[in-house]
Order: sequence, then structure tokens, then C-alpha cells
Amino acid sequence: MTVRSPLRYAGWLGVALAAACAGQGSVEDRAAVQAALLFGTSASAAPAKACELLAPLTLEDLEGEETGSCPRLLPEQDLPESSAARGVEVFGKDAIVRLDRDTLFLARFEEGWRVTAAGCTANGDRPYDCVVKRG
Amino acid sequence: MRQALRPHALSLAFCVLLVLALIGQAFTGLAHYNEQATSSGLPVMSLVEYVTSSHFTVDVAENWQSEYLQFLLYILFTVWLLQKGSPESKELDKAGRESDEQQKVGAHARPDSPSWVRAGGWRLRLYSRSLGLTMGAFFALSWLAQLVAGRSAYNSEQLQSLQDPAGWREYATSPDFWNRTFQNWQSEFLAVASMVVLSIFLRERGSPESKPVGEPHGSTGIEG
Repeated sequence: MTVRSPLRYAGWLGVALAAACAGQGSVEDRAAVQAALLFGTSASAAPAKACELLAPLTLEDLEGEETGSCPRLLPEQDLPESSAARGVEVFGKDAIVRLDRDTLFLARFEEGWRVTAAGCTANGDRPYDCVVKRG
Repeated sequence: MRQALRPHALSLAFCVLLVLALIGQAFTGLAHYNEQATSSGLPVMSLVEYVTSSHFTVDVAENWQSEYLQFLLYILFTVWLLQKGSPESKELDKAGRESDEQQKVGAHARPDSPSWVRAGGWRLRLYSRSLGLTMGAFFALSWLAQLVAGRSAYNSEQLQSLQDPAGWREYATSPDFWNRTFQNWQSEFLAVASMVVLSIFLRERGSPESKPVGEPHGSTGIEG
């Protein structure tokens, strides 16, 4: 083995590091924030539009727990209405978006980012307490 | 073709096994991830998405870093540490870096010695440690890849559980990172220790990793 050999393998490790960071780029950050803001601004004003942004199991659980469809049930959850994003963190297909009045968790499906939990408040080291969530 | 490949059969065999094992890991890892995602109502991944994800990368990197650490320590320890009776050890009077004559350097270099040996100076000093340095570099880079990919995979799971993601310092000192690290290290050290000790008493005829079948247990540094 020559001293130059390590450089030939550095490329794979560079790809590995890039792959490990996949999903953390600004493109996905912006898309997640966009979906979160759209949900946050339309949950009360345009609930049908907000319901389209819910993840399938979250939508199913919302409609399953109470009688009625999502556009009627969502405004009753009294989710805070947000107008701006304070921060976003994306890891792979999962994201947390902190809006000015709410915290949302999202997942990236084939059709785009969808809200898996909303109306979330921090709970110390335990999972967030969320008004709307799956499961 | 077969004649050309025969002198390289050992490395080729292990490279093929490496590729097959990585393919197996990719498919089974994808199936396991998607099984959990489906049951949680979360999006599944395609094969391409999975093998470029932090989940696959950390599972590969945590194994690679421990393999390179194993070889790094094995290469370095065997310079100075001895094991009576083991073919994995040098003979009992040869601890240390050995003489120039034993190592065929300096005035004792041969015409067909590697070019950096014949060049001498810093090239010889660097080349004399190139195996350990390379293993050490691969270990460091693999462990770094485990840290980066591991944090991303861990945080993905944190978000799926509606929990805050971990920062760099928090993850580097987390049970997840160190549990992955130690569970890999223990198996590597077990493998080397097993090989060093078992090869004292057991034989495999024809393998250079074994003493000759009829060699006494007390013979040290003798390979078959």
C-alpha cells in the first residue's frame, strides 16, 4: 500500500458525511417552514386547507376521536395562529418548526411535508404535549 | 484470466463478501426501517433514499470505525507487546521497532525495496509508520462519520417521538453514541484476544494465521 492510498478512499467518507447530512439542506428547511406556516395560518381561517396538510395518521386520529370531519373539528382544537417562523431543524424526513406561537412536528411524504403534530408545548425531558397528533 | 486473478484471490474474495454484505445490509435495513415507519404512520423510504440516509450511514460507519481501531491497535501493540506461544506475536526477543538490518532499511535496503525506503529521510520515516497512520486515519474519519450520521439518525427518531433534537455536544456525550461505540469495540477486542490465545493451542493446516500443525504450543511468532 502506498502513502497516497488513503486519498482514494477519502471520497467515500466524504459522500458518507454528505449523505448523513441529507435532508438538512436549506431547500428542505424552506419547504418544511412553508408547510408549517401554511398550516399555522389556516388552521382556524381555512381549516379545509390545513386539513390537507395533516399527515394521514394524524388526520385519521383527529377524525376518529370525535364525530365529524377534519374541517369542522380542527378549529375546535383552538390551535394558536402563527404568522412567522422562529426556527427549523430537519433531519432526514423529519422536521420540527418553531413558529412564533406554536411548535409543529412534520414528516416528508411523497406529496410533500405534512404535519404530524401541532399545538405542541415543551414538557421538559418528556415528549411535547401536543393538541393534535398521531397515535 | 483465472491465472491473472489467482495471486489476488484473497483480497478479491473479501471485497466480494464486503459488497454482498453491504447489499444485504441495505435491503434488510430498508425493510426494518419501513416496517417501523408504516406501523407509526410515517413516510417510508425507497432503496436509494435509505442508502443515502443517516440511518444506513451510521450503521455502516459504526462498524467500520471499530474495525479500523482494531487493526490500528493490533498493528501498534504487536510492535512492543508479546504473547508466548502465539503466531500473532513476534518472537520473545524481538519487542520494539527492530534494527535497520532486520527491517531492510538504510544501508540494508534492497534494490527492489519500495521507493520511499530507498529515498530515506522523512519519506522513510513516514513510510515506516504508514500502515498505522492509515488505519488511524480511517478510524478517525469513520468515527467522525458515525458521530455526524448518528446524530442525524438519532434526531430523526427524536422528532418522530415528539422530542427535541440533540445538539452536537449533547449527542457526542449521549448514551446512543457511546453505546453504539462500545458495543462495536467490545466485539473487535474479543476477536483479537480470541485469535491471539486460540492460535497458541489450535491449528489450521495451510493457513499463515496458524502455526504448523506439529509446532509446539510454546513456539512464538512461527506461522504455517
